[in-house]
Amino acid sequence: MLRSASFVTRTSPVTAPLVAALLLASPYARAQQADDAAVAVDAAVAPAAEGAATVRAEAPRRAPSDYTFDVRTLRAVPRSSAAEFLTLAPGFLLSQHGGDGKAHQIFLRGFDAQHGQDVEFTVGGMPVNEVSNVHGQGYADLNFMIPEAVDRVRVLEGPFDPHQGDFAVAGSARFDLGAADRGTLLRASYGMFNAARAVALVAPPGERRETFLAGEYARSDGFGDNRASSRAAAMGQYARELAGGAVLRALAFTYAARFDSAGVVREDDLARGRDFFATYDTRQGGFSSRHGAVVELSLPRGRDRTSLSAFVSLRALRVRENFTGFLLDPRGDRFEQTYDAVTAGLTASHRASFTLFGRAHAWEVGLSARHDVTAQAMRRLRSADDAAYATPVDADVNATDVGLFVDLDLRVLPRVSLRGGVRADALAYQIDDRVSRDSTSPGAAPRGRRDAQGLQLGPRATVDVDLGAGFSVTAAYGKGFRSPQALTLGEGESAPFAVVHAGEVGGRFRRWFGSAGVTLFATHVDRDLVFVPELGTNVVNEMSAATTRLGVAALVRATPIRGVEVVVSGTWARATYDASGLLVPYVPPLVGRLDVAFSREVARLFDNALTVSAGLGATAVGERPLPFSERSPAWLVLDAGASARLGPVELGLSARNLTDARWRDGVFAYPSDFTPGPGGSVVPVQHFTAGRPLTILSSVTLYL
Amino acid sequence: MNLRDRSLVAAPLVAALALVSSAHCGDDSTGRQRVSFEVYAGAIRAESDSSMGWHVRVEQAAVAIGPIRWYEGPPLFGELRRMFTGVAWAHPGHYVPGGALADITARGVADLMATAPVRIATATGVSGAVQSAHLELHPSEGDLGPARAALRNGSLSLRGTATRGDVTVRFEAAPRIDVNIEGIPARATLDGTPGRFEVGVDLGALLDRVDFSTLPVQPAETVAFPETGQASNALYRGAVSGASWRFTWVAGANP
Repeated sequence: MLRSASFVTRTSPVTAPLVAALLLASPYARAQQADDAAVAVDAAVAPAAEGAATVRAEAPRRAPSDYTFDVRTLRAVPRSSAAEFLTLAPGFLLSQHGGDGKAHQIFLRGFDAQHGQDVEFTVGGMPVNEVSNVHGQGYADLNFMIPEAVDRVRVLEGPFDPHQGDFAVAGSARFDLGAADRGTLLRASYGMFNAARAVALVAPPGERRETFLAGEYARSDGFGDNRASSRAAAMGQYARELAGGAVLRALAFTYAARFDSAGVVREDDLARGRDFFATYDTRQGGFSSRHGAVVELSLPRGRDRTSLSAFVSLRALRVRENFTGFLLDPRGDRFEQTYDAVTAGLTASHRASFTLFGRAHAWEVGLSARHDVTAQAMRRLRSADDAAYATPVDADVNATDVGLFVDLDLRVLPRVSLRGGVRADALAYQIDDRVSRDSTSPGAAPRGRRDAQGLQLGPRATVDVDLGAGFSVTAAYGKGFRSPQALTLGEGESAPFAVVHAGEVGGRFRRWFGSAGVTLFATHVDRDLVFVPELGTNVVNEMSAATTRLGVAALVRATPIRGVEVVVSGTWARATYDASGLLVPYVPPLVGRLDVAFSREVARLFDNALTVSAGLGATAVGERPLPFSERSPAWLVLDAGASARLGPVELGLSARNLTDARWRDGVFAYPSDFTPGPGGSVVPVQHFTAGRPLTILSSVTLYL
Repeated sequence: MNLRDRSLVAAPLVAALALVSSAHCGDDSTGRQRVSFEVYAGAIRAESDSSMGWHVRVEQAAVAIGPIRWYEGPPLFGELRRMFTGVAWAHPGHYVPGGALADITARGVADLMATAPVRIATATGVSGAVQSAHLELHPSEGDLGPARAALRNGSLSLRGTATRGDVTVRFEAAPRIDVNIEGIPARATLDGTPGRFEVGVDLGALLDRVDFSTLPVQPAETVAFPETGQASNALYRGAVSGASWRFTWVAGANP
């Protein structure tokens, strides 16, 4: 879990705006603002009533690939969900192959993280990854976030921070919620495919940046057969400074979504004339809901700080999919997976400063704990009427994760910092498996209860050298882990964690216009989870051998002129199996991303400012290696948006996939047979899920 | 920033870049590949002595076979059982086919009395080690076209003579068999090198358990297997036995 070292300073009503203005005016401050590890000072945040400025300081950089993005300006680039802010970080690629409402499939720096198994996600202090989800370990549905309520995203690509826990294999991502622009926003959107969306965001002036209340409703018929979806979400967060500088933050949210899913199309069927956006099974789709609350108390004492937070969430997921048609059973292979969970947990940490050899250092001790009570099932459904005819999974899983860490931040030389520590995680599982011991005899005794426990230790270290003149070089090493899928554990088994060793080195150059950095990385995982479409979940199988990833990533962030922000990144990664040297399939070796946003007041009309905003986003993905030495086509998708605001009214237009490219969002190779009856081929073939075609949305926004 | 500082930055980056570059020298594939091969069918033992004491000589034989699928799972004691019992099995018990490596989904008709094996179809699949095969027999339907006539609406057709002592029976049979024969031993390494699978139909094994004396013999006439009775049952058991089907990989160019 990532945590920021945020703190609040109280200044006088006079000095607050003065200091803020000075910092903003300086080239160094502009560079810092644009930089991913900068201290961001935003005059608009200053609660004028109290006369205090909220100064947000980032946690120390843990690696060259430690990125923080303030998404305020970049909102001009069209995005369909808050999760898509992740693509600002190099190497992130999101796939929405299961419909709008299912968790994204995530690729990051040579990892096929499936639905979250290799990336640790937190939102407003709430862990999102789901332990032993029946659809996939670490399933992380980020759709409950309202994009307008996302203030900042921090991505750390690799397990280099002792704060990072379970699932931080390829890295971690933390979403901070808030609203930089205070006031009330009312937005209505409508566009192609009968898509409609309404958002209300209230950010009371005078309150802290973290304080807001937001609601969202969205629906769409979808861009092809069986892709309709609808969702409703509400989020509220309140942060208040208490006596003594303590800050109390409380977050509550609720979310529910229903979605249809088109599923896959066979490439050979496409070649025979089937529509690119077709579906074989119109009963695919699902339901997802999440409700939760977080309370956090931060107690600064001078340069020391103590933090305590607690969270609880209720989660429900139902997914119906059919990857294989009638391959496995003449009654049909459609399956339904259900996952219900109650999660509660807490985090606590104490960070203290000390002086040694004339230099200021810091240490921190922290803990994180969570307990998940889950019920999960998987049923095979008859194609004709959805009647369940087999139940491969039916179990309760209770999981407990207790993590402890020690973290040091030592300034060993004036320009050299050494950070790191060690983290220990103990995980315990109670499994009540109701599936029959004999798959051919449903009446046989169930597999019954099993208990398992495991311990994982992980050192992490970072060396950060400031070379001056804007240059710095950073090297990092970390050992991370992924917990096992609980249903694979035997009685008394020492839980076999997937262990990752990661290292990287990178250089960065910062100037007033922004920053540029390049990172070389290497990652080794001793066992991967592999998605098996026939089973509809991730499993350890013969493809789960040890893997190594090597690559290079580059990121340039720039504010070349006032009102323009540019973020461009590229990542090349090579993921191979250790034993054979063969490529890991599906992983995109090349991922490129460009975000250009522009926003400026261009005139005054009727005593109101006329502000024009525009944004362009481009995602490029190279050929992906597929099983059987095949390749999926490379693709480039462009998104563009523009808006004009006059006083309180803003009109906007956005276009996703501007060129209407036919691109494959998801690619898979496995056997399938979508024709009822015998006689179909059982040889693996390529399948794909269609990417979004040209989609234009218009919007009206009122700022009150 | 002086030259020394720049070197400090550059050295580890260059070293790491070299490491990354060197990593690109490996195999640039995920392993395995698409393969295709031709499938032929022909007769084995057109003339044989059966375990029922008959000397059987088949003069006309045709079969419609397919789909055929090749799997990576080993046949359970396949060759061993064939060695000791001479038969395989229609219901292979704990046979686990494993992943499918290749198949032909269409049916093909083979004249088993042709002078050389007859091409059935082109199989497509993926590389790997094949160990077993599934073969389907279905009654001939309209999709077979003119070849259906040779089958006389059956899954296979046979015509010949059976002799025991001074008794000679001229017989013909066109059973309508609808079965998926699993776990037939079929070993080959599919790696894209030229070759073909030959499906040998062991006519001797097909007719091995037929007691031709049970047929309603009319002198000087050809007698057809009735729909029921020992002869039809024995022929059915022969047809669904894996022992009647021999899959042989023949390396090299196709004839």
